[in-house]
Amino acid sequence: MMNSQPPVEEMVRSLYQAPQAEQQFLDSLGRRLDKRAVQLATTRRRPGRRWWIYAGSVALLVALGWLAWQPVARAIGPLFGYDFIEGVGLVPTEGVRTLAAPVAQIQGTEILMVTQLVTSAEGTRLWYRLEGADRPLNELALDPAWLETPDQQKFEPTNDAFSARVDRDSGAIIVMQTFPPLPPEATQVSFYAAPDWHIRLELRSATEAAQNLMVLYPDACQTDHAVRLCVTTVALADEGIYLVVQSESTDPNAFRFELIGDWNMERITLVDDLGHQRTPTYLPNLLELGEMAVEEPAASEPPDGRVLIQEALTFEPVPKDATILTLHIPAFSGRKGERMITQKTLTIDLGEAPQVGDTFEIDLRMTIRGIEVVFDQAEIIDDPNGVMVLLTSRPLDEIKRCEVRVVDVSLPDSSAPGNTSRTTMTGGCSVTGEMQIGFDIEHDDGSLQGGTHTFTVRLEAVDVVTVGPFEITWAVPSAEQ
Amino acid sequence: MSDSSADDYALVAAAQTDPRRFRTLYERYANSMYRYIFVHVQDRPTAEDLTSQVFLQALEHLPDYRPTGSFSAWLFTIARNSLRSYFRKPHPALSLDEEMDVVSANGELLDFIEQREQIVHLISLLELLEEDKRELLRLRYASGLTYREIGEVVGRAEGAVKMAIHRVLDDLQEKMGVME
Repeated sequence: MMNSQPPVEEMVRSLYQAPQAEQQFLDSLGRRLDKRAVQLATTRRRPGRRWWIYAGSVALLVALGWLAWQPVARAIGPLFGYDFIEGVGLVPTEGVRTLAAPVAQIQGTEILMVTQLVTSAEGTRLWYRLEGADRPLNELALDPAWLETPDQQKFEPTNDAFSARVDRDSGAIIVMQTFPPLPPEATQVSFYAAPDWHIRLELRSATEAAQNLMVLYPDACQTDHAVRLCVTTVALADEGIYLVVQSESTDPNAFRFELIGDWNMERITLVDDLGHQRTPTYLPNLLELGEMAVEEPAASEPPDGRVLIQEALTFEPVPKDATILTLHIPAFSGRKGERMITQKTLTIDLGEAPQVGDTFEIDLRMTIRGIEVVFDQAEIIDDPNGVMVLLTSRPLDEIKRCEVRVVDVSLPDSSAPGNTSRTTMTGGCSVTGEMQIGFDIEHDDGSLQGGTHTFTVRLEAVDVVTVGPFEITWAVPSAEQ
Repeated sequence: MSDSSADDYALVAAAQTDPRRFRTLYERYANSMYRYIFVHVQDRPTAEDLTSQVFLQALEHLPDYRPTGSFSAWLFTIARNSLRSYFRKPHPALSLDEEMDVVSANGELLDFIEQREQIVHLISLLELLEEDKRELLRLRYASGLTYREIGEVVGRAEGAVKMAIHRVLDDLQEKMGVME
């Protein structure tokens, strides 16, 4: 075996060399912590979270028959503290106002949605997403934008912080911008942005926002083979329901059972006792809101040999007169530590002058653990990362997709010395049902590397174990009782 | 127990009694926490937001902390939970070479690595690693945690962590060697 000490260790160390935090940020956070610490020191401490979870669960069950929705919410809400703002995270909430509800506006092909606003004595932060915009990010960042109260006080951006990014799934531009503090009594403010966006926003106190939430800790579990699946936390809010599902595998070979993934998510349903059925829906604000109810951090790690995974799911709201909820998971898969690897070498001649759109017939057949993976086509594509040759396999069925993935592609005999060959890979449980492998053929000057390319593809097969079905049921207080 | 851990326990005990003494713990871990989070998210404002969340949660939950493991492991467990929540939502998937592009922008890396091919190859090898192995490398090399602390964070024995990291490095070394 080769020595693992420098240079590889030093290279890895250098690669993971992140910048130091800025002193201004550290000082500012230090002051926030000091301020919060003073509040904590001068107010009665909450009981320990674990104690509260168990006592709270018992109290909720007792209260089930006679407490209605809103009283429960009001009774429970304050126990969480008012420190978590939907969509934002932990902030001190005294004197804090937030957006009452997201507001969207459409102009032509563009949709601008203000998703959150938080204002306090320290300043204002505004989050919005813009869909359908045909403008680059940097141009958007320079757009004039401001907030204006009904009495025409104008608040220009402070630019203490600004972030903008593109959501690759939706293509939406997501922006966070800072402004000065708004008047503490403000209940309305308008957001103006170029070219002619004008969106009126309703504000409410953070305390009010925290009260539309009811949280249960049902700890309802079911075990199948070596996997114990539990619904540990349920947060019911006006906009939906948030669940924390915990999978624990007791197999000493460390199975990893994860619900979240294209293959598993399609199979999950939440059914109420009125017969309504729903599949998971992505509700970002609810995910944020639900975080406050999750028991974290894990106070104790599971003993060696067990794998504990907590995942959150969100669903559309349940009717207020529902009293029983059942989470159905027909099956889900986990991976075991063992694996097999097979590899093959392939040569492709791209010709003298390769062009984007050129296709090539190839015949790369690899069999691993009885599963045949056939790559029969290669195409030169213009990928955001550069021009590359993309190999696409024939579709695999979903089980096989989960069992086999590409682990490595290398070009040891690249005909272009100094060419920076990069690889990308997809595999695992992809929704397309295909495996794809790509490698760069673009030089730094934009020209394409033709000729013969020889490379090695390695496939990995992992043991996939399926467990289920699971049907986990728990009670919720009904507003109609 | 290392001196540092023993020292932490004393500081934690003091902060559990009086939250105003949490500042010392914050100052001790702020930078390594920020760097660990930054390596994951590669965006300064996001790293700052998440770092803030982690320390505010830690302050809030400090009474729940029990000294069965080190404070740093507990703190990084909070960070991992926060990152897990962050990545559960649809953010642009960060490929490791993007990660490294940002990191290398500080110039230090390019000073160190003269042969670009080598680093590109290493990046592609790291990208192919399983996430749990990359996480071990981040905890070790971005955050500077000890093997024992990493073991407490990921729920594995110190020896197993040490072995796993060495195996990853050996494997990388071997594959890099093939290239040379």
